[in-house]
Amino acid sequence: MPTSTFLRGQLWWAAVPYLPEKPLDVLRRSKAGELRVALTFKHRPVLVVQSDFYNAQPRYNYLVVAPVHSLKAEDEARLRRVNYAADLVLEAGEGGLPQPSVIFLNQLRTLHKNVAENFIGQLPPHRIEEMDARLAFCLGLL
Amino acid sequence: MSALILRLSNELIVSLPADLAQRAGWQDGMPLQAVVSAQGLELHPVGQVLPYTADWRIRQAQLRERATALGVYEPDRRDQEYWQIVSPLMEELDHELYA
Repeated sequence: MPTSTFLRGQLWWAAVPYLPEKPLDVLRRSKAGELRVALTFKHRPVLVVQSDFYNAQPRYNYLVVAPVHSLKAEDEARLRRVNYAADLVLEAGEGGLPQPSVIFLNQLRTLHKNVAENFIGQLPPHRIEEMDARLAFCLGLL
Repeated sequence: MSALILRLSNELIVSLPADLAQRAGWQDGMPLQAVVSAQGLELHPVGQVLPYTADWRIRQAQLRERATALGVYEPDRRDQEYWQIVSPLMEELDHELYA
């Protein structure tokens, strides 16, 4: 059972299963008869994009999230200039993130609720509106 | 099905043949909401619980408007500088798995 409650637009630290090798390289090795792989966990911030309908269901164990990456200040300015549809660019301090960040809304993944470790913060309403519009575009809903 | 002739006006008033409106249960002066979609235009009395599709079309129109304001439909401006920033971040994601 999940131990935390989640809301859409929240940012969390999560322990994401991480392979030192790319999964596709592991697949190639496994086809060659070598099956041992080392699985580790990487701590990364994620943005909850899933509906609160599912977030609130204690018997539903999964979260749809988008990965968050921190940026250097000059890179934030560059990404803003490009303004790519799938990129949600945040200023330092937004959503509790100390650095400027980019969230790739075309890189959604599903995580178990129990791998979410610590609450970071909540996106302000205008960023949630932006997230909705960019996500709808990425998912072909517009 | 009734064939009507469209007359455009800048006033926020919709005129319909009285018998057609009465068949829909609408009265003179009733406030209506217009739902625009790729399929056309629908009218529904304000306050009425909208069918799911009409409700979604309103939301979709709002999202489309917001996406346009954000520049989502502008030409793709990703250049070499963009990829220099983004490629290492995408590379990192290639190692992550579903839980």
